[in-house]
Amino acid sequence: MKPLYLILFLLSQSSLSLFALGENHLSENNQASLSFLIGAIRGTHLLVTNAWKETSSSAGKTMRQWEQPELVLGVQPQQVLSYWQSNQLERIEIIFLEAGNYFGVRESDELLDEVAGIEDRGARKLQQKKIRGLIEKENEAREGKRAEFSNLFKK
Amino acid sequence: MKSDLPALLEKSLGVKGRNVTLGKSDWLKTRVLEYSYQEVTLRLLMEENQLINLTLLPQEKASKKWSGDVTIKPEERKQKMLDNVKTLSNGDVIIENIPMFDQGDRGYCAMGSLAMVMQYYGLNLNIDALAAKAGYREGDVQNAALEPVYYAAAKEGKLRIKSWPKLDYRDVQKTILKGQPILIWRAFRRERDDYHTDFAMRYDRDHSVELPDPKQDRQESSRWATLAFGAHSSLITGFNKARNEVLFTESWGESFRNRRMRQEEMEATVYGIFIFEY
Repeated sequence: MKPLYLILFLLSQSSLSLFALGENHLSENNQASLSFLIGAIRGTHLLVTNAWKETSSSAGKTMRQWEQPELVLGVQPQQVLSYWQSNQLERIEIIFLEAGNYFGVRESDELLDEVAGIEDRGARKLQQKKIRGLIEKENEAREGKRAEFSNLFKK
Repeated sequence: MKSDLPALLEKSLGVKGRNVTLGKSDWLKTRVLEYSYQEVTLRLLMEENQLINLTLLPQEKASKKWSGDVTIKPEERKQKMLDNVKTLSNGDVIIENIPMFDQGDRGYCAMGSLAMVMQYYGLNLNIDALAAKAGYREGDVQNAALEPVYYAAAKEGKLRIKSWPKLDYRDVQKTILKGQPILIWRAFRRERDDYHTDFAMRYDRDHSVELPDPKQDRQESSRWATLAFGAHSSLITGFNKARNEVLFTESWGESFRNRRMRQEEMEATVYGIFIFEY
């Protein structure tokens, strides 16, 4: 087989495997990511592309994060992680919603850590007062976010 | 999402999800909706008001035990741990093969450290699921039940857990030499942590640099963290006896593996120790 025909043949095989997965229900456009990820677990699609950032690697165990995940089942995931063992894809975790990611860090927590380091009593008290005010503001902001999160979770 | 995702999955895959329970212990028993599609298992985990997560894995690896279905004899497991202990040319004795996690900017260090130890012992537990089980709410550690989850994880992995409040450098060496990482709770001060990060970078460039000896430098201990500043969880993953150092690792990504701290500082700032063993 001539090289060009060989390439065309291989390409057609790869589209066939995509189609084969597609014809079993996963054919809608917004399901493409799920179809692709399932294909990666089955070994029919390659996952290692520039879109996945290696977050850790130790003695054959590697974790990669999809940097800008596409919609999965029409939902925007917060995070998509893939776990590898000796270059074999073992597992993919799609985190659709996680409270810690959603609510983020409280700035007051960061400031509280530093209060004990302020030696001047007056300055320390002033900082504590500032933090108390910040906590109140954060609590108010969280009230709104809490309702949003709860709705998103239940929907 | 809780109501939409199961329906979307069912429609997309053309198969019904079934309720499956993963794990055995009270704290880590987890109900998921499981879908089988061709050779792939999809597990939808929904922890009320905390986490919605979909896991994809090959069917043959879809165990209902957190520790997987492969059983290894206790002697082999112990040998595997010993094989992970390496002595480096600079005198560092370290444990290799400890998987790294990155908790991001969430206050999940107590679960991040646990996830790393559990993955080292072969349990498929991740930070998000552990945090949900421990009762973290809105990302806050307050009210979370940390110790019950530690004990439950040990039970799932058929591990014994030893716990005590005070760190002794000799115990650190003995434990590391057995290939057992030590999960610690310690006082934490951001400024001091920056110092250790900076020192790790300096040491990478020049192995002759040394951390101040508190016996020589009387001011040194006043710079250490106390619980008034904050608390944190890390793993002890090695030591260097000649340099009187403990090597410690955070669930903050690869660049926070095996940073160095003087044994005196580590002993003074640790207030909780957890060792998992077969």
